[in-house]
Amino acid sequence: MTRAYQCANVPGPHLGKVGTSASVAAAIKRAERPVLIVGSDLRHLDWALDLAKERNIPVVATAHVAGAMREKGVRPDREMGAIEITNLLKSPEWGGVRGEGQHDLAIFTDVLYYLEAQMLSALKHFAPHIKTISLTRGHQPNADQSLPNLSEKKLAEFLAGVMGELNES
Amino acid sequence: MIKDGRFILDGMENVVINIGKVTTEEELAEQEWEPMGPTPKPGILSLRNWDHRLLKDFPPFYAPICDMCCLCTYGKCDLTGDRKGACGIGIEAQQARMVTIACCIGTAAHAGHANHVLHELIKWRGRDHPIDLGPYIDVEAPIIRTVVGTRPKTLGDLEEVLNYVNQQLVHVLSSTHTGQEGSYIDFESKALHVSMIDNLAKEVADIAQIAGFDFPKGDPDAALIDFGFGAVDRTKPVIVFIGHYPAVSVATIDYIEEHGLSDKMEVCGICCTAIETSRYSASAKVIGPLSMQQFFVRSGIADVIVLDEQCVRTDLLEEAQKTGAPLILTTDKICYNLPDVTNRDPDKVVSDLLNGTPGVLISDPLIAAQVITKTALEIKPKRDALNHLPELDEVQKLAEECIECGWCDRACPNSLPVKDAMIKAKEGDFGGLSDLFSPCMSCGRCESECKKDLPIISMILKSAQDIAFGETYTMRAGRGPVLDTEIRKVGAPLVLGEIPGIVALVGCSNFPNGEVEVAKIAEEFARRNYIVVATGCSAMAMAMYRCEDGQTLYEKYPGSFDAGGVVNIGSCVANAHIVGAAIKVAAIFARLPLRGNFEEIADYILNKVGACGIAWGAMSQKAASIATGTNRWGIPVIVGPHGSKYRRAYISNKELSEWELYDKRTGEVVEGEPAPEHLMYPAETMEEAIVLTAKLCIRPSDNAKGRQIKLSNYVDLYKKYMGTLPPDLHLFVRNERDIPITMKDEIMEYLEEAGWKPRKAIGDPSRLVPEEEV
Repeated sequence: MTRAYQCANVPGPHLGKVGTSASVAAAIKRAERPVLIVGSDLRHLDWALDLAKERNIPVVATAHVAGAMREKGVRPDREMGAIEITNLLKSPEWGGVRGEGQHDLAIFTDVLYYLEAQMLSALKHFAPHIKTISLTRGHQPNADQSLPNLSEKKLAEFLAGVMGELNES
Repeated sequence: MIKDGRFILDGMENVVINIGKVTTEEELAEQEWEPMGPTPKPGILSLRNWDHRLLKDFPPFYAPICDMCCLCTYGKCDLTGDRKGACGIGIEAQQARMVTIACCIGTAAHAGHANHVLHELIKWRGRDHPIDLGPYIDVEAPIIRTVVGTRPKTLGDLEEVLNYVNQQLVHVLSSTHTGQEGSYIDFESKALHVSMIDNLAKEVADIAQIAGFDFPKGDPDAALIDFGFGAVDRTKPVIVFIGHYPAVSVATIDYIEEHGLSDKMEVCGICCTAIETSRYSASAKVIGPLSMQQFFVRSGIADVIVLDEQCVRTDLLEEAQKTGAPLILTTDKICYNLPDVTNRDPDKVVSDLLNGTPGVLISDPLIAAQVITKTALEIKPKRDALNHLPELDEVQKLAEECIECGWCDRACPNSLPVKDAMIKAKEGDFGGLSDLFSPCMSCGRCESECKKDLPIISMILKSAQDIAFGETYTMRAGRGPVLDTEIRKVGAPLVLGEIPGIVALVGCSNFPNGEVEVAKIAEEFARRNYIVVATGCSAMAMAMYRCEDGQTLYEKYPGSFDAGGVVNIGSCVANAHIVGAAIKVAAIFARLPLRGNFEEIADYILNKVGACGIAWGAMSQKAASIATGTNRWGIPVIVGPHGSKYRRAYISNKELSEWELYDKRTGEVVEGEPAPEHLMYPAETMEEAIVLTAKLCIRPSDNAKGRQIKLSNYVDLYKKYMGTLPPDLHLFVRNERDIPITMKDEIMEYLEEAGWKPRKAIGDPSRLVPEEEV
């Protein structure tokens, strides 16, 4: 069994799956209103922005990431804390980032691992209307799907694989 | 002397005099100082309405760190989603219950400290020892006045307060037993209640310490203390005190002075005991916050290690033995299965320790002081021959054993790149290990996980020896309470917003990126003329930094509670004085009665005193109760990202929230504003915390000039880190007069785009329902 990236992060009996490039891509394709939440690690910012552009997914920049995005000439759809967007995602009545209705898929990437684990826990317990994918470093058991624990090189291949699968559609 | 009772006077048998209760002069004076308010010594239910009002605007946000309950033998119970445990509890109530338990533990730690220090001081000085905080403090105990309704004049008077503290703690803790409270909102109310009780316990502890140990009484020019490993003269016997309870370090300093040894020994401390000790003697050295604990013990510098209580590593007996330093325990909180030798001949105890007894427990501070001093003097020559850290070539050899499995990175709370540093060290490049010294909290989880049992902490320390042992900093000694005279000066500008806020850096040192971020936060706000106050590990972390001009923050900025000040208030228990300062603004500037008048005071602070706490390295249960207690008084707190593991935040729902206030001037319900927007918020990065702090200092009471100042800081910081105007700026501009003049064109353009409409500022904002509506 794959252990959580931070190995003591064992939440309970209901653990998410370790995804593959294909399963992650399939979940993104299936979603009607996904949202991409980009955190402070910035390790995969270019990839995240490419994904958002390719699939027209609204982007929420947490922490101070909006500054880094602006330096790349990108304006995020929203700028707010990781906990603030998670709180909004919990509310079925929220109209979503672009006012098109609550999201059905939240993709987290590069949020600080342990903070993201907590945000995913909140969604697991209190947002049954939303699926979650974590593309942050290593396995996140609170996400419906997350990465295996990979080296940077393998992770880059994984993410490239996700894009490849999405582009095949 | 007249007593109560029934009397018949001789010769007047038909006349009966009933005396119900005799009022003494002291009691009369007590009655006259202020009329008693509505809630003296509140119970769990007394302030429940206030809590529910707070929780309406700032509802709890839960992020379970564990999906189960394991507290009774029905369990483990899976509470995931909408499942219930065997007792009927759901996941939200269980989270609130765990938070309540954490707050009870935190309160118990401070109350234990308060009970301990008060009773010791009563033994030393007597119950009648006066509480005299000097000529510039009349409101000596603002929390006790507001909550309990009394004015303590002697150490003995504090016992009554502690009786109330102990009673309330029992009631709240009992509510967390299986089969008691089932509502998360009411658990939160109990967490808020017990954390307010925590405020009281801290105030008792610090007032007792100031009175009993003659600590500084709010002195803005308290001494600058030498700080850091490099400050310690290693040619002398070195004693280090770790923990929070200062009776033993104070007694040891006295013993050393009485025996003419002051120039011959080094006394230093880690964590809050260090702050307390330096409040007593400016010659005591401060090593650093608790994050330095493992590093310092491993360094082998200490000849005797003394533990008292709270936040001490539980494996220090094992660690001390590795360096040949005897361990002396001094309170009933930490016993480590060591023999209690309090009643043994101290010289024989010294002899035992010199002959290899690894440690002892001595519960009498005066006896402990004698043993500590004598042992340090005699063991020093023996220990000089020991080598405590590996040499660099040994570090390289150790690194060569690393199998690069990467579990060290994964065990690290901050996922620091330990593996990469090991790979470099294999090649004789120690830069990677050295770079870990600053962000590493020396928790040792990497070592615990290491398959090759590598002493990673020691390897980091050796690689960073130039930084670790070479640097000496300064920290201003903890000054204690804010003076009434200072409050008179800053009260009006704070309430009107012209001083943009009080930024309080508090709590432990579980920082996401090392100590430096706390210092940077402090500097950002001191430069902007906020009042920056600090306590505990954060006050120490701030010292480990030099500004561009080479000065430490304590050298560069004044220690007065005024705009642009950087104020070390003291240890964890001195946090009471930060809340106390906000209360004093209500008492001294607004002339509100404090006595038994919690709700009105907290409402005043929430709506009118722009203060924000930052517990950037919050780790302990004490930090949970400190933050939650601060929240009940209406002061928002930002915690670092690790603070999300407390399971609960208090945050508004941004665009879904309704902000409804009363205008006490008109008696009308009016449209409010998200000021403050959140009450307890885990931020992801320092930059996010800085921007949010400026925002959380905004209050409905700001006048136009004050709002301009606050907004200019918020906008400027947002632009600095995000490169644009804040997207929620329109929520905080009431009318054009609020807009900073230098930013007017830019902001007006933004406001037009956002569809902003001007609104009236609220004359006298409040969250309390006017009496006629109750």
